Formats: sequence, C-alpha cells, structure tokens
Amino acid sequence: MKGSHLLLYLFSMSCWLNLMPTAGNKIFHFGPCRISMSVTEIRSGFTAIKANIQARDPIRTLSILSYPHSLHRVKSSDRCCITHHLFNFYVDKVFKHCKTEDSYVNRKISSIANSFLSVKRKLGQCHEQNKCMCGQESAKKFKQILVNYEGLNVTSAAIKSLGELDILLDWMEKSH
Amino acid sequence: MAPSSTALALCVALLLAWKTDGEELASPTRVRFAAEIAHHLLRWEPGRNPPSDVRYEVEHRVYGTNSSWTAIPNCSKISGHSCDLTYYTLDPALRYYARVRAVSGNHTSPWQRTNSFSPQEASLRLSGQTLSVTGNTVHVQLQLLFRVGNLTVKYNDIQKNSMQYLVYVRRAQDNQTYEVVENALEFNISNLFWDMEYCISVKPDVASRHIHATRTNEQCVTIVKRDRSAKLVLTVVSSSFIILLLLGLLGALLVCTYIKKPVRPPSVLTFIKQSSLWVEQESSSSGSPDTDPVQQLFLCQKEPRQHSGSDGSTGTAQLPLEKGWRLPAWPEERVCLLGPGATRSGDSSCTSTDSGICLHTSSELSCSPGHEPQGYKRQLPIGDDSGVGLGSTRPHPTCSSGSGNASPAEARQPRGGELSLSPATSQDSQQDVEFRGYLQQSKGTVEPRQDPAKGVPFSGCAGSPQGPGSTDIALDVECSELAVAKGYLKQSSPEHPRSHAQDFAPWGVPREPTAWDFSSQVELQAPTLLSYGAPGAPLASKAGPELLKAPFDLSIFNTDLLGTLPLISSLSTNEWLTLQINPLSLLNGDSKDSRL
Repeated sequence: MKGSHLLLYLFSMSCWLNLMPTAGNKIFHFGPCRISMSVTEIRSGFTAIKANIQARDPIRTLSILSYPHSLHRVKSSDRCCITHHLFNFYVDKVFKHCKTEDSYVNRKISSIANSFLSVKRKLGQCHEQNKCMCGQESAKKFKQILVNYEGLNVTSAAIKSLGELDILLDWMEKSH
Repeated sequence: MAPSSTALALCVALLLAWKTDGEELASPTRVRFAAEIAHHLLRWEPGRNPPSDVRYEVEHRVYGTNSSWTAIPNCSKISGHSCDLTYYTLDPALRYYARVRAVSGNHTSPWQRTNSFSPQEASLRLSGQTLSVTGNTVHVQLQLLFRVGNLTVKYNDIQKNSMQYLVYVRRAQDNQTYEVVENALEFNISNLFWDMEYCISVKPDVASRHIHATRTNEQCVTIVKRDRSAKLVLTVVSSSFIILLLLGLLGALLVCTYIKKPVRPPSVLTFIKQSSLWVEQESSSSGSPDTDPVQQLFLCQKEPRQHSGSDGSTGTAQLPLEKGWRLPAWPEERVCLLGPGATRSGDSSCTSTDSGICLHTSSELSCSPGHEPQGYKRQLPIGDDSGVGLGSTRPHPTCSSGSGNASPAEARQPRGGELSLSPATSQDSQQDVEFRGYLQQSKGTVEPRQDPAKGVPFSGCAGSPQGPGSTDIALDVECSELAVAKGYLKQSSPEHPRSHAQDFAPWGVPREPTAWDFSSQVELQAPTLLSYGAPGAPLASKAGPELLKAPFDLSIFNTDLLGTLPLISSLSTNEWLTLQINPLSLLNGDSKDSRL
C-alpha cells in the first residue's frame, strides 16, 4: 500500500515536472499561438561568438532589424506574423551565408540555426492553423527589413543579420 | 646590385619616414564597456608607451542610424581611463558604439572602437533594500531607483522580464548563510531565531540570460527576545474566551435537546387515545350510533367477524380482504387500539372485542360533530356495514357534509398509517362520491390531519394529509367504509356493497400505504378491472402479485364494480391507486370506515 502510494506520488511529480517548462525554455504567447523556445540556449551560443561576428561587420550606419523602422513600434497583433517571417528569413537567407573560417564559430552558428529551425516549424504550424494572422502593417514592416537586407551584398548582409540576433531576441522577450 | 640597393634605400627611407612620422600615438587598448545597471562605464587601457601628457577623447554613436559619432562633453581631453556614458546610452532598445583615442599635443591616436553595447547587457544591481522587523519576521523591500545626473532610472526600465531575486541571509554569530529565491519586490523572511542578529543582502537575476549580477550591501538586523508575557496573557485570554464560547454552545445544545417540543403521538396511539375518548363517549352516549366517535381502529380483527355477521356478504368479502388487506405488519393486537370502548352495539366495527381501533359501523356514523374529538369517525352510519364499506349505502348522512369535502381529500390523504382513518362521515355521504380510497370518517374528529393541500378539512379521512396520492387514495378508500371499522373506510360509490369492509389492517400501522392499499385494492380490483377492461389494466398488472393475496369474491364486486368504474375514472390522483381504491370501496361498501 505504502509502496504504491509512493510510486503514485513519484509518478505524479514527474509528470508535473515534465509539464513545467524546462529551465530557459520560455513559452512565448503570440496571441493564440504559443511557442516554447529555449531562449537561454540560443543566447549563450550567440554570446560566445557575438564579438567575433560583430567585428566582421563594419557598417554601422545601417541596421537590418532595428531602427528606424523595423522592430520598434510593432503592434502586438502583428508580432506573430513578423516573428514568423523573421524566422523564415533567418533560416533561409542568413545562416547559410555565414560561413567563417573559424570552426568554433561555425559550430555555434549551426546550433543556433538548429534552434531557429524548430521554432520556425512551430510558427509554421500556428500559421496553418490560422493563429498567426498577418495584417498590412506587419507586411509593411517585414518588407522594410528585406529592403535593408538587400541593400547590402549577400555575405555582409548575412553577417550583419547574424550580428543583430540579440536585437531579435530582446525584441521577442520584451513583451511575450 | 642596383635594384637591391635601391630597395634597401627605399626601405630605410620608409622606415625613417615611418619613424619620423612622429611618435604615432598608441591608441588605447582594451576599450570596452564595463557597465552596470544605470552606470555605463567605458574603460580602456593606455596604449604602448604613452607620453606623459596623453589625453583621451571619447565619442559614441547609435547603431543603425545615420547619425555620426558624437563627442562626449564630459570626457574630452581627460586623463583618466574611464568615462561614464550612462546618460547617453539609456535606451534599452538601441545599440551603442563608443570609441576612444589618445591625444597628446598635436598628435592623436587612431580611434579604438568598442563592440556594440546594449543597456540590457549591463550587469545587474539593485540600489538597495529596506528592512523592517516584526516579531521574528523581517520584511524586505527592494530599491530600484538610480540617479543619473538629474534623471531617475528605474531598474525595471532596463530589465523587464523574468526577474528573480536571490536573498542571502547570514547569521551573524556563526556566519551560517542560507539563500531564498523571491520573485517579488517585497517579501518576508520568517521563522528566524529569536534573540539573534541577521545580515541580509540581495542579488538580482534574470532567468533567460546569463548575466553578471552584484549583491547589494549587507544590512544587519537584530531580532529581540520574544516578549513572552504579553503573548502568554493573550493566549490565556483568547483560549478562555474560546472555551466559554464552546461551553455556551454546548449548553444551548443540551437545552435544545432536552427540552423538546411535545411530540405528537403516532397515529396509532392517537387512535388509542381517541378510542379511549370515544369509548368514553360511547359509553356515555350509550353507544348510540350518533356517537360514532372514533372509529375503532381497524385493528380490531374481531370486527370483521362481526361485520361479516352483520353484513353477511360483506363479511365474506371482508374477510378475504382482511387477509389481503391486513398488512403483515399489523399485528392484530395493535389494531385494537381503540380499546374496549370501541365496541359498538350495532356496529360490528368497534365492538368491544376489538382490540382497539374499530370502526364503528354505520350506526355510529352519526357523525355528530360532537364526536369530533374522537379520531376518525366512522362514517358508516349504517350499522350493518361491516365497516369497510364503501360509503355508498350509508344511510346516515350526518357526516355527509364533512365527508363530502373530505372525500376527495380523504382519498388523498391517508397515507401511512395515520391516514387511514378517513372520516367516515364524508364517505357516507359520498357514496356517490367516488371511491376515493379511504375516507376518513370522522368528520369531526378527524385529526387535523387534513391535508392542507387539499384544503378541505376532512373530517373524515382527513387522517394524514400527507401522501397525496396513492396512499391517500388508499386511505380514502378506507375511510369510506371500512365497515369493519378498521381504520379506513373505503369510500366506494354508494352502490357498492360495502359489505365487506375489509379489515384493513389497522391503518395505524405505518406501513406503506401504497403497498398496502394496492394489495388490498389490487386484489379487489384486479378482478374487477380485468373484467371491465377498465383502465385499471395497469393496475391489474401491478396488482398481479398482490392480487392473489386474498381471494376475492368477485361476485361481490360485480355490482360494486359497476359503481366503481366511474369512480375509478374520476379518481385523479393515482390512477391506479384510485382504481384500486375503487374496488376497495366496493368492498367496503358500506363498511364502516375505518375510523381511528
């Protein structure tokens, strides 16, 4: 009797613990769309290579993600759509062009790319379930991001986008 | 040779030129941001071989904008190796760059740029905490405000998400420290030891990123010795108060329990009571039918005998009825609650032999209101009615008035044992009234059991108003005419030969009236119903098992049935019950109502 009680207790505790988000795993709410993302993992990977990557980007007058138009002043209803587009953008256009000569850096970039891939998939599911509606405003903002990107040559733009990953993460965390 | 010499010369020249280019001032090294929350410090190291009069200049810019480098006024030509850029780098959404160069005389070093800097990278710190002690609990309040120039910066402006605070509590005397994790800005640390000094410091943390944090300065508080006396007094007072309250409650409870309201005696006993009264009356009134006081409870088995004798046919009918009717629960003895007085001269019902509740037959049905006090009066005025007679033949009309009303009511009421006494009075008059089951006879006496719902004061089978429905019906029936005066007299249409006043088992017995009724009725009815193909069919089915209990003399019913049929239909309450009743009433015929 006691043994079964103990077993039941342990089982329920383990279930409960499994349901709790693991350390660093945050649940992001984009309206009805809920994504679980391991922000800490991405951040730690990025912090390790941040100085290196940002040093490779000489252009300071232009930013792809941030000021003046893009991620600032985004309405909460548009957040899901823009996030979805951005993750698609990063996976399709940024990571594959960020090959450096440093293998350590390359490894870190690969791990970041993998995390982005899983989040991109989840966001795609939300989009298919119509939980991620795109409005006109969000389309306009993403267009601006693309314009910024295409203003540079591919490699520079890719490196610069990678260097701005912390801007993206900060923006996502800001009001999730 | 010439080319080599030329190259050499060129090299030397270049070298010299290089050298003469001046002591190229070495730019500062290790230019970086060493930032805390609201204190963004730019730090650097001097370059190689700095001249003695080297000065530094700082500029900054915002990443992503078209703006150019902006000089920092406070850090122009400074000799130190750090510069506070907080004021210029406060926006947490933007990214900043800063650069430094060394200046000495006319020479300047190249700019050395930092990496990008975001205020959110700044290491965490709190401005302080406020402690207040209550008992052995320390209330901690965290301070988040920073002063930057003439600006006030709040910690929350910079770090907004998933903030946690690690609280370090150290015991002064042995340096034992334990940590507590809090999420709010104000919290309590409780269960500390008395008469001890504690030092508390707090370190903030952000869950989503690995970022450096600084602990606040330690602040020490002392927890004084517990004031026992006051607490003791308080404890004593409160506990005594509680005890008094409980005692008071207990006392009230006891009072309520032991001082009871007078309980109404069960119907059976009332029968007895009434019967005794009745008996007295009877005796006083010389057993005139007028008296017909309390019907003798049907308990008196002897009655059927008497009835049978009197009613002949009814008796026979009754007898089987009795058997069938009699509730198994009813011990015979019980029935005769009425006591000796019940005997009635003319009526079989409450003959003295009856043990108790005997219904007086018709003769007694005088239904004189005067007899009210006696339980149920038997309505059957007709002496020859055995008792459980359907009210039909009762000649005596007296109770009619009451009965009239009562009958419908009666039908309803009596359920359970008490009801059974349907006022005979009503029944009698009712003869035309449909058989409502047992009619409580006593018109006057009827207990107050009138069914309030009915609104009709049934004198007769007022009996128990409870149980509208089947039981009532049954009761009514009984009331009608239990010739045998066993409690309820079945009310049957007048034509029914109430001869057989079934000896309903003493109604007083609280048995399931429905069952009982059914059984009795069913039995009665079954044959009738079946024969008539009346709606009693369902009844028949029900009755099935019970029907067989008492072999009825169908013949007896025949006539009654005719009469009952209309009754049946008229009975509204429980169809089948009523139906059942009908036959009963038939049986009762003029039997005396069971009167209690």
